[in-house]
Amino acid sequence: MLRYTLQRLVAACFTMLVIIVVVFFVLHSMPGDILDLSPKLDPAIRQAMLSKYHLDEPLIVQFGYTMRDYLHLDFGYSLKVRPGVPVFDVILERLAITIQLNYFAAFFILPVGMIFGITMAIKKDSLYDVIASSVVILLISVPSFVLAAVMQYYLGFKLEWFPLVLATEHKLTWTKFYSMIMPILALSFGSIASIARTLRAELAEVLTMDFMLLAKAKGLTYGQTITGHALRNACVPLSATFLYLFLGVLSSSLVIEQIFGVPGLSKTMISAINGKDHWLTMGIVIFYVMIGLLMAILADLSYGVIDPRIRMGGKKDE
Amino acid sequence: MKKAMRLVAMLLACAMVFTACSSAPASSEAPESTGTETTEKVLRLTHPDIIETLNPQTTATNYELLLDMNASLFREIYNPETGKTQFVPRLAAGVPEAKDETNKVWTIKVAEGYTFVDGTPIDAHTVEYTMKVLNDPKLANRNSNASDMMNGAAYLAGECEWSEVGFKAIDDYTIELTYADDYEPENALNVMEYLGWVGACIVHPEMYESCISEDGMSCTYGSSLDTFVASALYYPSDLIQGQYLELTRRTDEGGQMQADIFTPDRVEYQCVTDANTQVQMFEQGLIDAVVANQAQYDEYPGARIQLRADNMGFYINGEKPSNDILKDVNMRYALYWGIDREAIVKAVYPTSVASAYQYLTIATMPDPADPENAKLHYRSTPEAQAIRIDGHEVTQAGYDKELALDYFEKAYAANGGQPVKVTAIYSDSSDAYKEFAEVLQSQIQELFGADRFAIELQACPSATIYTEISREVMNFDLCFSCGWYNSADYPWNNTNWVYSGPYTYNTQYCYIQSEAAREEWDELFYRSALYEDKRDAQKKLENCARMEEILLNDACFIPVYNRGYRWFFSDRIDPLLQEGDIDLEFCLMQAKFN
Amino acid sequence: MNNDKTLLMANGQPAGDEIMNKSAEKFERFQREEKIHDVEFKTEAVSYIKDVWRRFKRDKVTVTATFIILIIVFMAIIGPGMSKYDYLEQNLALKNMPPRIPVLEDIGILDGTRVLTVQVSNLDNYADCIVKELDRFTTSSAFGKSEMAKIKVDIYKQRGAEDVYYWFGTDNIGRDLFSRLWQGTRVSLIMAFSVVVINLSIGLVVGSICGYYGGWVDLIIQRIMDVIWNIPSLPLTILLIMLFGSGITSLVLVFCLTGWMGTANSVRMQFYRYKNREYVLAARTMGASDIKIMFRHILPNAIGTIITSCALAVPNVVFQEAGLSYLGLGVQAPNPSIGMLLSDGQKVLMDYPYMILFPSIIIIALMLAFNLFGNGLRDAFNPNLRQ
Repeated sequence: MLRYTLQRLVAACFTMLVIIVVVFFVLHSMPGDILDLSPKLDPAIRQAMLSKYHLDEPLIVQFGYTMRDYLHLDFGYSLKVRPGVPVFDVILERLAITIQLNYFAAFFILPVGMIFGITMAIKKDSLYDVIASSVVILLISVPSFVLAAVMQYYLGFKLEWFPLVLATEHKLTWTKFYSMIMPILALSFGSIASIARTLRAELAEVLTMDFMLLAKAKGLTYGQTITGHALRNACVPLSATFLYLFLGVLSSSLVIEQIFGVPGLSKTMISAINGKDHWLTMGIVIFYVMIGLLMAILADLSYGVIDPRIRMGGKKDE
Repeated sequence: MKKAMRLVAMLLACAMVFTACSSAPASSEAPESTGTETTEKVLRLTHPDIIETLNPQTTATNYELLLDMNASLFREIYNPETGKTQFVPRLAAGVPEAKDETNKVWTIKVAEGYTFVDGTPIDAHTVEYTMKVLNDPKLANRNSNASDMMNGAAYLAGECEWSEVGFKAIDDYTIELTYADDYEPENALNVMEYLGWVGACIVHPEMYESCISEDGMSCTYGSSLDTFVASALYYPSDLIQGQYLELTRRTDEGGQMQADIFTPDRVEYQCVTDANTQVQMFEQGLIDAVVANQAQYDEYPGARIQLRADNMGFYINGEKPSNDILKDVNMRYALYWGIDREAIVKAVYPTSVASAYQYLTIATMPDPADPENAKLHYRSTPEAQAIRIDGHEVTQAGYDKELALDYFEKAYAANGGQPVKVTAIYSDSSDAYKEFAEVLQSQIQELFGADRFAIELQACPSATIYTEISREVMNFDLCFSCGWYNSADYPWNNTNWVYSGPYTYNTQYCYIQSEAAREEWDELFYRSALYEDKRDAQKKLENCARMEEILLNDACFIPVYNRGYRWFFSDRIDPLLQEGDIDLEFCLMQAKFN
Repeated sequence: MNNDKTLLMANGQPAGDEIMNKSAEKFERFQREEKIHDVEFKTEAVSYIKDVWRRFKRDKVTVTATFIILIIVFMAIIGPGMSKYDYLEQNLALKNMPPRIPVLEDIGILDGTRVLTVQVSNLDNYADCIVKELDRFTTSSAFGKSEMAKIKVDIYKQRGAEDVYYWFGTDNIGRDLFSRLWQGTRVSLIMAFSVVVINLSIGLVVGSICGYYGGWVDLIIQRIMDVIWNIPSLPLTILLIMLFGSGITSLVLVFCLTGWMGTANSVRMQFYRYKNREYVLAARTMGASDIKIMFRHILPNAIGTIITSCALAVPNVVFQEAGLSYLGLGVQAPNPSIGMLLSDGQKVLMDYPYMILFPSIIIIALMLAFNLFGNGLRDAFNPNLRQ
């Protein structure tokens, strides 16, 4: 187990390194001036800024500087999006609301998705199943920008049930939570649908297995067989999805942020790319890559914990 | 399964703790009492970008917002009596005075009694400290302005000490400013402009020092409420990065600068970028002003059109395009005359005005009869009206189908009757640009025949479009949607800061074909902006007209329209905005409350 | 279902249970003396594909889904030519026209009317085209109060175009949305199909090589896939489109960059599972070439999974393209795509809701149909999953 974890970590570091190299050179091969779009900047200041950020040196030297800083866990400073603020702090200040939103979304997604999935599997091929499947597909087939805008217009503007945009309070109060309901809903639909679909498929398969017959033969009620045996087994392949749901709270949706005025990380990333704030872009990309790699390792390890039949490290079919 | 649940619960707990920690507010002051709500004048607005920094020395966009919080020696305000903007002293006591006729050395008196919001007094030394750190060579702030001061450029380059720079506090309340040899301020207005620049706003010396990093290369001043001390009439009382900023009016004695000019007691800025969301918020009474270009508001009476100082149109790359036909001036004339600007504006930008002029329809010039105060509407001057394009009169619509076809036939024949295919780029930053490009493409192809003159559109990211059309790259045939930005009051001064050849707008983007014309344009430009004609209003006007004539006759940039926004205001405020005005910030911060 | 042909009961259950439950009396004894002949099956031999097809067409939902897909594809082919207005033809005088369909307009839907809010003093301008006055109210702004009226107006009459029918209305530069919708569907589908085909080819080749040869080849390709997989997709997409310019080619490139890995992985797994089976060893012993073993003997095992995932990938590409269109990174103007039409419609949602309605219906229909079709295919290929 330990050896496997170490192996995975080394591989992850390698992946990270390659990505840093790729992203650095892709970013710096963008046409255009890093400092300013307009020629208005005073040449003297320009020169001063260029040498301050080593921009007047060859790309490979710049890469050397960047890597040296990264080795000291110094991710540099934002250049334009938040001038002078360390990249790490920029990411940090946008994370709180992103995490809050995603957590509430996860708490909403999990029960709703599971209820849909279980009922659909039990009543497989019934009218309910067909309708519920269609609703589920309907929810994922409307792009979130359409769904969010329509929701905002009808629920927020026409009916005035919910506030149009996120409340401007620091602490998580009832008002703020109330204003988060629409973004949470908009965020949830896709995940609800995917959980419901996967669970339906897995559960339907489990329900046909022999041990279900045994459970029935033992005299368990239908409900007991479902919760005690079927669900437990159906959830093993889904455990990764659940984990991602809770670990994926750091991801954010640009569309939701723009429409509901949420100060999330995606907006910052877009302005960093468009503003050629390369250090910030790099920082955010590295952050996401790190989260992604850690999540993948955790999900793999958790398989072993949840289902001891799955052994890590060994080559399965060789 | 149980293990899984335990794992999930653990992760959940961790994240909750993290959430709770990181969501703790940076500062929570400004207690709100509902009792005063009725009398408090609150202005609620949206703002696209809250807020990259509160540091006036590094900001790139939020100039007006930062000027409300950071005091400069002078500030531009809107004068409702004259209907114009003017510079007035803020921290300064009176206008700057020149020591002698050469206008090289100026003294500025700093008013006594003003303080930062934390009570720290403001004097000439504060101002000097500000200018010193603003131009610090190690910090390399983007809003540095030392180049115009004596030894300033050398200081910026790290070649001399601050004590040698021409900016000194000669006593506690007097400042002496010495300009560099190659910069000649015309009058006190230029000095006020120079010191009214957002970069020259004072910073809190103690706080600033504590924010400078160990290596002296960066400074976090103004990155949050904790690292910022306001010095002007308003201070930021609440800030949620990326979402919300609240300005509150100071009540202490030392903060009452220009207190009778700016009206709100509190200003709330919310960061909302989606246009539909903004309009919905306005309709629900959540904000006091909104841009609503949507058709459903066409008949609403409360609209005011604000014209921006942008002349939108398209560039023709005559320098090294793949198509020789674009080098032919007849082809460019054909494009100039072949565009139905009125129809385009009506279809795509109902709130804008058609404009076939190189200089804005709203541009004004100093009146030769009274250069200090009065301004002329440039278009109504005889010099501007005398301009002809290849003998044809210039009109605002500038549409003549027959003429365009005549020119096209000539160019087409000269090109050997070969079908032409050109690539046109446009900025992908807004839908309006896309529509503009689509309409232009359709109009031009329809007029000349798609089989003879075909246009292929190519969206270009807004971040790279200016590079694409810059002189070094020129990676296009036509560029739809790019603006020719020129200041409304100084049409000859196409860039705010002019230094040398490559930095003028002409040679940067608009590539005039004939070399002689190019040289003449540049010469006129420098003469008017920097050298001998600088103080001669009549000469400036003539130069300006000649420069426009050159551009029009070369037709390398084809103006199409002057951008306009339709504003609506709530009935709680009475904004100082007239139809067609340009400056909006004043109208809101100086609005009357009902 | 004929009991001669199969031992399954009508409900699909094996016959065993039924027989066990019957009491012994009901069984009839055979004469021992009679000779028992082997009865030849009257059925024809059923190949795998034929079996799949039979299962496939038995499912009504799947058949309906297939039908919907066929209709949409058919409309994507002939739709742009059906209307007399070309999808690029602009008519600035007739912009933002509401939908108007000849028969439906008589029963009051899609009849070319819109609700406008106008000043009461301006009502005369609309005098001859008002269908109904709905409401009067007062608005107040910073510049005074004003009486407003909500009226339902026949836009076609107002613009003097009474004999014109735009079935789905026009967009904001006066292009026929019917033609644009089907042209957009065509563009989206072409893009989706080419992405799927490219992903499939790359995925098959790479997955087969990885799975068959294993070892260091597999290791290296796995590492490369790891890298590509872990680059966050949004910044990568934006950067690539900045580098290569927007347009269908770039979009296909972006979708293919990560898309092939799903196919490659599933192919690889199948290879690992089957490459050491006895029949493969037998084939190898008999001197079959690597290529033949890979594509003739191992790959067919994976065909069901692959085809199903392809069916599900098609609407996903359409969907992702819609997301990119919202960010201004979609297909190249003036070409429409479903995503482009949706994002254009979203921006004028408050003014012209019909602009978002029709493309929404198409994208929902596509998603729904392809998903059901994919599920049906999966069930048909892999009957174990069915009850």
